[in-house]
Amino acid sequence: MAEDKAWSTSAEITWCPGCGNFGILAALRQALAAAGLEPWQVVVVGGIGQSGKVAQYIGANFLHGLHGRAIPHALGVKLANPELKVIVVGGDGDLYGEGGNHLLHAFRRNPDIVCLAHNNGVYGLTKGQAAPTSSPGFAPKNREAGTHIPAFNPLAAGLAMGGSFIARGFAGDIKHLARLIGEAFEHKGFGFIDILQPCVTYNHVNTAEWYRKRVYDLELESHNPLDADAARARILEWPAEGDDVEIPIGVFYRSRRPAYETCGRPGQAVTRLEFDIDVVKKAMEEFR
Amino acid sequence: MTDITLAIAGQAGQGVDTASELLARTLVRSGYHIFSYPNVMSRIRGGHNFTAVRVSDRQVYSTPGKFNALLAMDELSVREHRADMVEGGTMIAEGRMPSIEHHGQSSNDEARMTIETRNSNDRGRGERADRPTILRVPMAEIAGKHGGSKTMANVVGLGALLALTESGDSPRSRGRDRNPVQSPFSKLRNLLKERFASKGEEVVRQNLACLKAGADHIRERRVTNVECRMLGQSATGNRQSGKRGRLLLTGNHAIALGALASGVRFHAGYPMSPSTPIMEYLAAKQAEAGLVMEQAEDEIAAIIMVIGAAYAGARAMTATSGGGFSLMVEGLGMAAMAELPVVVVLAMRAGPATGFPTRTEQGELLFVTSASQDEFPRFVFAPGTAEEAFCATNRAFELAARFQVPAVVLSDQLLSDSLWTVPSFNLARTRVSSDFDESAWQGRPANSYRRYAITASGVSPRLRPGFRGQLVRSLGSEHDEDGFQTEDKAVRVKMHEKRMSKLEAMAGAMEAPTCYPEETADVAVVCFGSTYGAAREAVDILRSERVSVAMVHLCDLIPFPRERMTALLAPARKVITVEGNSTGQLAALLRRETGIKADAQVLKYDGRPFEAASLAEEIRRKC
Amino acid sequence: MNEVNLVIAGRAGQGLQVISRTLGRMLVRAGYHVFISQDVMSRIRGGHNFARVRVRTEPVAADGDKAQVLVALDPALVARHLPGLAEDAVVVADTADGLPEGLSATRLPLADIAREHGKDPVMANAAAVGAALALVGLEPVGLDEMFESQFARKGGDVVKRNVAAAEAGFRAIMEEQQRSCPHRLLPPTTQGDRLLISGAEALALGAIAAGVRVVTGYPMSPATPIVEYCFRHAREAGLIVEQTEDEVSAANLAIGSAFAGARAMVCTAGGGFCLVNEALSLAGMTEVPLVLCVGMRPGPATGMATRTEQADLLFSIYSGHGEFPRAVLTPADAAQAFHAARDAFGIAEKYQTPVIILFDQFMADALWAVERSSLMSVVSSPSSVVSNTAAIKPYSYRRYEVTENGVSPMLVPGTPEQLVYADSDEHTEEGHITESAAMRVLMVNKRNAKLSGIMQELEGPKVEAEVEVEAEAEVEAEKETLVFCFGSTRGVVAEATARLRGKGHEVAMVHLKCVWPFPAEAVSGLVGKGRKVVTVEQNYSGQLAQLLLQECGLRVAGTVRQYDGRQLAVAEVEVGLEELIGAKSG
Repeated sequence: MAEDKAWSTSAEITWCPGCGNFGILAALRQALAAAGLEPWQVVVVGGIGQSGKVAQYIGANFLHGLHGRAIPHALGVKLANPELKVIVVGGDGDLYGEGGNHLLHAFRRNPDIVCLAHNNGVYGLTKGQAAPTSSPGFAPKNREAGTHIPAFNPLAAGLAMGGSFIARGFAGDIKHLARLIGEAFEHKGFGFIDILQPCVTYNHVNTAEWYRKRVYDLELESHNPLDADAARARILEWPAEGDDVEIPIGVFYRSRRPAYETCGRPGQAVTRLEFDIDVVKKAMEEFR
Repeated sequence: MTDITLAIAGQAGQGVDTASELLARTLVRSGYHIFSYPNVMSRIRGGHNFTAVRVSDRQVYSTPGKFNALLAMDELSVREHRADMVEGGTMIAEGRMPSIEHHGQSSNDEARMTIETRNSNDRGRGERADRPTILRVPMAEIAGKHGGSKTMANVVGLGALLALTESGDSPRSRGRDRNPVQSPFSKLRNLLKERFASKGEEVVRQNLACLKAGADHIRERRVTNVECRMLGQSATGNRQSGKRGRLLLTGNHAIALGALASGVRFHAGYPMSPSTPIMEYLAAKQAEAGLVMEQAEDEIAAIIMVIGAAYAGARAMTATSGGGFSLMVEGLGMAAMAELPVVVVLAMRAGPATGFPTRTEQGELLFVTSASQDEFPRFVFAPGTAEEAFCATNRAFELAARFQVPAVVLSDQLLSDSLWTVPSFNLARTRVSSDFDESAWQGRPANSYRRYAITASGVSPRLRPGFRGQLVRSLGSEHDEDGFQTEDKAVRVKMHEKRMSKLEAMAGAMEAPTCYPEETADVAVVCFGSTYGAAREAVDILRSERVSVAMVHLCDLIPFPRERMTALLAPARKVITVEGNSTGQLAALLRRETGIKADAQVLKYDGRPFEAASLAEEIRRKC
Repeated sequence: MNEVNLVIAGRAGQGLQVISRTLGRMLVRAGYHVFISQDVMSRIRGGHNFARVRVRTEPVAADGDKAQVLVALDPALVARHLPGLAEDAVVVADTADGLPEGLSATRLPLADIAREHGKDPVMANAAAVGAALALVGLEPVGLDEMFESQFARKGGDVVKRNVAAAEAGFRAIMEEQQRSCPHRLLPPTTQGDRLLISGAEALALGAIAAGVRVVTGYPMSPATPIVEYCFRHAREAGLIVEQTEDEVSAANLAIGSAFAGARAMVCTAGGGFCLVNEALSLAGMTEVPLVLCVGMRPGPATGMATRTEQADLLFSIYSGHGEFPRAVLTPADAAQAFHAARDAFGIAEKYQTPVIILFDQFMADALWAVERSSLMSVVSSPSSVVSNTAAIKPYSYRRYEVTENGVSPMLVPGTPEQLVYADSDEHTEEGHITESAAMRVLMVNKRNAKLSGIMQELEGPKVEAEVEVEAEAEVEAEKETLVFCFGSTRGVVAEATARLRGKGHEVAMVHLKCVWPFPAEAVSGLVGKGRKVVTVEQNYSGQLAQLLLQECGLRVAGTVRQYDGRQLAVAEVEVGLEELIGAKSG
């Protein structure tokens, strides 16, 4: 088993001090170490943005692809070689905006991929624009676009699309988050975790303190994640401006469905199949 | 020499496509060469589609001219194609009465038709010699009677059409096949048996009954067609090509087979005419060939998945058309930056935007050569025939893998949808190299693998993620040799030059342009892609008129064969480019790369393919 | 001195933009010419960013050679800039430790000053502004107004604390440098009414002046500042600014608005432009006037997000599937960007086809001193929408009526008793879907016909700083060299060629501010016979050189290229050109 510290790289970390990404990175490292995986067995697929850089810092194989496209990149990897442990890491703009369509279909497909969505409600690397998850009333510096519409609720979308593992974590609670990621690792299907995180530079509404005051663990409320109705109710819990509704974290919903890469597929790593010329010969005969 | 055209026309949903494919295959099995071009409207039902099947005893490469016989499944087809018939051609048309009519009358003008009814034996005499004979066959009705459903009307029609190939001796002898083994009619019977065997005996029986009833309907009438009858008579000739025999397949299928023969393991796509059959074919082959076909939610996802699969180590491809390719442009650059081999088939249709979804054009040559931001090496192949499409697809996979770059196979609706007769592909000549030398990495120190190691060739050794002890880091940002993101300008320069340095060796790996029938002549006709067929046949026509002309066809287009083209075109008195677009993209590329300015251009952009005869005429005017 | 070059270095998040802009505006107001470029890493905090500030008494449009002044907000960054410093350079930093001997280093406790006078360590940037002013010999007057315009909305005493920190920085230098101030600027030679504006802002301002109504985009460097500027002025300028979920949506939204009759612009870059390709083709087919601002940065793929390159020239000309007419404008600087926006809307609307404004990170982020008068002369082009609809019989409007120049009368949906169709399929004059071969040919020809009209709208290129040919024609014409460039390299090439002329080389520049339709005739005319042609461009393969061969049959004698993500420097171009000129004529 690889040690926690083995899950790191020589790359310089270019996040702001105090960034919620550090918590997520730490939790992911803990979960990986606990899962007994070797770095070479894992592929981290990163989107573009500060969050996607996790791929560069985790010390596993990585495919650091295009903005918004981490999920299809990951699906390509997983379908070609189901033996790899594939983890998607992206931001809210990345996974919910640019790549929103892919996320909807990932819930439907249910590949055995863990998806960590860094949700800080704002665009960081392009300097402070509203993100799909920005709350109404959140007024980023000089901008108001996007803030007159309800925030995107990835968990509700996941439930509606038949998602099989729908969870939310908090970057400020590393232990809890590491455990959630661990559960997602064990889940045979699309293990989706929306991770609340502060942005110290651009989001002055949803700060670490703001979250810390509001989050509570679903498990302590004896929530039954197999109950879709209960999950729906919990998923819709979110504080409106000024009210003090609390924010649940943990696994909202879980169901058993076959993983996509096992459905009507060769069921093995096609990357390792030997070329068989007889297949071609036979195929050619059909055109006589 | 036989070179005739049989056409089938009707509405979408009337089985024109199936009937023409059956007809073409029947004739191939009878020893002929076929070129069959579907002319399809972009709709599911109704409208007007037709497919012209050109039949010859030598290899044919381009779309048919006028029709010797037409199977018209509806009345619109009769009206639409009167002008397309050769002198004295024969139409077999849906309908009851009268039995025979002539061109030039409205079909419901029964009185006149009756007066003008004549036997085709009168053809060639009198003032109406140019009019086609119209034979009415109540196909739907017969199908209902013998097949239990009017959907078999196309088989009835085929029977009638093939009856024209029989000699018009006595009605009695026409009742049977004179040579039950060799005649096209018997070949079609066997074909129907094969085709419907899986659907049960009853379906086979119905089809055969429909076929025979349709044929009998014509046989009873003692009509025939001289050119068509040639098909029946010469069907015993020795026209099988070599030991391997012939295949009849579309360009799309040739590409898909080429992919199989290259060890493709992953295909992701999103349906878009005219590329969709590639995806459908590979989907059907998943289990047998050990490949994954994923229908993506959009074209963006398709190419991105392909990149993921290539990263994982699978030979991977996608196929699309112009609009889909537009959405894949960013992914193309991603593959280039990550140095992952992906193969993209771009089957062009008339644009911009949705344009003509089911019609042909060559309007994306310059788009594919410069698509995606910044510069990177890429391959572009523009095969001219189905056979070349098969080979070029194999080259695309091999060379993409060897140089770790994206490769585009540029097809178009003409190449993709047409049915071609090709000699059975020579698998001894296809190559499937191993893309990984993993044994070299056994026992190396852990974490010593560098995905983007600088090498003399610019190509770094590849490993598949999941290799014990080594990590594989691929990315779309500028990076160092280890695969970590960098903003260092010296590293940027080194990496950019590493990628671009592949170009020279890539150019060396390309196949030379095809010169037909010789390298030099007074006039050089330069073309790419599917224009091959019409250009080649136009050259034949012109040379038969003693015009000194030769064709230079580019399949391996990018990296552009600069020196070769310069040398090839230097002796020509005139350079004429022929291409299926409105702005002369090949001419522009030729001048950009070699400085050679085409003396004249022949352009076509009406959504229809070039025809050899009219192309020859255009070239003649410009030489 | 008539020129001083300053480098201001710091970490992301230390407010370098504030320093360079404030300093630049002070200098512009004092009557100097200023050029400021930004070197920024793709991160939010930390790293190493710097701005180059070049001040001159004469006009300036490029970075200078060596810097006379380095202000380092983080002393650890000083070492990286040593190679770029002049021999007599002054370094201002918190500590002077570790600097090589002979360098005039001023230990200026920026952080302490910030804490003491600004009550916030971030005010070190204001202190740096004051220090820089002192070093070039400018009084810190008008600082309050300057900070007011930037920080007023932060409220409180932020403005006051900034001013205090800046003044303290100024005083500290004055005390320290009392004995000598080697880089004091001469008084300005020209008085002008100038603005200090970034290329991106000028582009946005130009679009507003041209009557843009809808601006869309998805955040992506270097196009983001255009959208941000539009957003800040949305209310007063009557703009709708929409940040969409992705670039595909941004472009299609803009097409919808343009169809509805609003002047619409989509702002994107590199990868985003890739995603816009399909919509670009749609605009061409539906004949919708669409303006695209396309920023270039090094690729492929994500490449280097915050850096510069000019490698999308051919891509922008041939992007999008199928064939349709378009214009590609390549403005050199802020003033040209402003005018390019006007031209773009004028052409897009008159010819009902997409127009691309192709710029790069360097041009967009640099701050340029622009004569105010040069911007004021602009009037937005008249609307091409037919206003007198009485002549059109009810319900008889034909959106794609074939005309000689390919331009059909334009109506917008909502016109009483008329229906307006936009069709992405090939269509008839009415706008109905067709599969007719004859109609197809008619429509392709109609669309393509626009290109020659567009060509006539555009101002052709000219030889700049033409070599004066002796009356006796002693100068052999073939020795003359024309240096072709496009986009942001104009300032650099102009200065480099001027230097070469100073050395006796017969060389002049031709800058292309429009690359498509390519002004082939004009270029061939300029080159005439026997002149040597070279290009300067920031890409690997020499795309402009390829275009010259493709369109004019001109084979260049060489190309000065760069592709490291940084703007070519004047000295680099000078050396590169000298090699090329020498090589052939030697």
